[in-house]
Amino acid sequence: MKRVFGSTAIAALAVVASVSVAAAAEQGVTDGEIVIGNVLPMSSSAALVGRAAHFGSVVAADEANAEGGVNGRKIVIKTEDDGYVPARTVQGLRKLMDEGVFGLIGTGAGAGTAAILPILEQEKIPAIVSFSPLKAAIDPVKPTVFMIGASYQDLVFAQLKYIHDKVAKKGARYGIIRQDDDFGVQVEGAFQRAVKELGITAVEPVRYKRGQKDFGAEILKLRAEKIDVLVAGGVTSETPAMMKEASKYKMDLAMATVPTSTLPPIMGLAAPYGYVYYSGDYISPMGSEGAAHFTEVAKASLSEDELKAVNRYSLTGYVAARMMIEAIRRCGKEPTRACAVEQLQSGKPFDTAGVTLPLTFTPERHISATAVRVLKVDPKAGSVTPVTDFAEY
Amino acid sequence: MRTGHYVESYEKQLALTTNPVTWAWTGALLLGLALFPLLVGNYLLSVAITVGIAAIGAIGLNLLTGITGLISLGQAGFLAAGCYTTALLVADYGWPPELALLAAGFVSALLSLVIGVPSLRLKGLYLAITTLAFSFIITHFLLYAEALTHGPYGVRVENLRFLGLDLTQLDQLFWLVLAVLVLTVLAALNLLRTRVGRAFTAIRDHDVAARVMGISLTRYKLAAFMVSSFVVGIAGGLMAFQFRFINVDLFNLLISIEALAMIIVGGLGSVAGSILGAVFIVLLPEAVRALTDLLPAALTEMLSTYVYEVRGLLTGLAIIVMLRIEPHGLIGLWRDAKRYWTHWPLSV
Repeated sequence: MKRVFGSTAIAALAVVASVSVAAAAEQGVTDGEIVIGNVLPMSSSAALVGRAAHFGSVVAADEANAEGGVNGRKIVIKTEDDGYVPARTVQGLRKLMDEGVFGLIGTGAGAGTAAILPILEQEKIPAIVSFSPLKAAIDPVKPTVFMIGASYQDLVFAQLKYIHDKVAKKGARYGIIRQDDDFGVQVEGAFQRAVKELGITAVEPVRYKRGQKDFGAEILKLRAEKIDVLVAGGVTSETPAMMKEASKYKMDLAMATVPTSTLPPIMGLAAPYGYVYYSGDYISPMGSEGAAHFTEVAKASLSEDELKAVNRYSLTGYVAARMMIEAIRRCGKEPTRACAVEQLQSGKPFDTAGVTLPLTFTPERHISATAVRVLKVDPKAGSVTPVTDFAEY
Repeated sequence: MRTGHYVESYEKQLALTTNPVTWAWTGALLLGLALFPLLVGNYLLSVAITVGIAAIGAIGLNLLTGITGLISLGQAGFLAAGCYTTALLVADYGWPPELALLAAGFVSALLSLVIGVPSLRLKGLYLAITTLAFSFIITHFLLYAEALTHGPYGVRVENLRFLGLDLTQLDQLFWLVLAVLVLTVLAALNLLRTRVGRAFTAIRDHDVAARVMGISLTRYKLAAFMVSSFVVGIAGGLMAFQFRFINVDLFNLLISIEALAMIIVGGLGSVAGSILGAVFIVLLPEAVRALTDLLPAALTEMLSTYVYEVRGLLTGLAIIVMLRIEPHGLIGLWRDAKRYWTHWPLSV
């Protein structure tokens, strides 16, 4: 009788222990899988970049899985569409959390990222903001939120410095057309910094409404101001629309733009207007040596249709996913969110397969890949050529 | 089942309902809704909170457009005014959330006078355009009055405790939204049975005739704008609690269009229709998503990157089909169904 009681007690303890282990298992981690999430604009006008970022993360997961997964577990990417609407970014994250997600790499556009920051902090979800850099995500430092990529201030300032030093004539007049939102504020921040640090002659900044398609009035205003350099602060197709208007008046302009201007569809739209312009980026351009490894693994991972959707945002998605996967790998057999955060900010470099220099985070600095390279974009020739090395600005 | 309404006193005539079965069903529904957070996960709860806030906003719009006949495309503006009022008062001025929520309603109601006054001379599409312009003015102000509104940087709301509820917890936020929705429904239903409510309806049906009957168009049109905007402002205040980080991007033109869609799909002039419309418009994309998720893997792989466009098309198609089948909206469908079963087996 005593023996029966003893065995029963041991069995009961074993059950309790196994239940406790199951209960202690981290969100998004099962015996066979680890789920990493994205909330991205897969539909709407920003789908061009959202889908690309999603495919980048898929390539990183497939690459890890082809090598046997992470400590025996398969990496699964789950992506929710936020339609470029911040309210839906929040709901997308809630859905991922309900279904079980370990960490987040796609965090929506700027306003979407801002909207989910309180949840990321409250739920202690490791997140790498890579889709649309947002200063508020890491300044002040949030315990579980990291960011890769230079701010728009640095990206545009680098170009203005290059144009000022190497391209524009002395006494050139600088103008800017920027969107009237947080993105536009960052672009204008670069412009104002150039005014202060480089002593450029600037005309009054011109703002446009989000979704605007015609820039006739804005260009006419800047033409009257006789500008020589234009910061074309369009998000996507606005930049070629500005070029279209400027070309009507045969304006001779050196142009600084944001990284979307190197996307093939945007270059295609810009090509007829004859401008060679500048862009800045913290990653190697598509087609360059730095992106060669990604391109190779993407071919094995994606369908033909999906490959057509790949662009520079795929590279940022790829880098973020690689870092998250590596942080999980370093945690060993029983990864936890706390461990992944610890690994991310350990100061040990993360290899990005050549897309960027190896990246590191520290507890005080949750931002990496801030070095910027200025690119010369010739849309007619379809070429994107680096004209500087990576440098901090 | 009852086949009609037979009342013998004014008291009964003015009661919300004289049918005990209706009260029983309403009680059961409320009980079910109160228990809802205990049964579902955070995602569904988050969607339910969105539905609740949308329903409050839709009731506000229906009071103006469905009941009084004044078309407004300015709902995004009133919603933004309410949302920013609550967020700024809590975040920058340390107001308790309870007072800040009430203030959202009052600020929004005061602002409505700006378009209420032109509405005395404008009707139909002309009024719609005026209200649309108001919405643009509000969002423009929020974006550029940086010293007051934080401009493009947005406002972050923290430490949200409301009458003992911790609003950072979704279940407690849900209960607050549910309570506000119930209060809004009761207030709207009661308003419609008063002299004011009947004056609103008279203005909608024929404003000249209403004036001849002694209804002051100035007073009642302005009252309609203020009441409607108060309710929409409260919905905006709740949005500040829901998102805890707000910026002007939350309040685009699409919100005003969606609000109109809610009351048209739900049923113009009906409080219940407003709620049904909000449920339909908010849940439709979720339903379409669930439906496409059920498709065989081979088909979704074939759709590849186009699956999101297919979802968008299906959502639009569902609204068109809905309005084609029942122009009186979901509330019309409900009334038809009720009539059918009431008269069964003699129904046609």
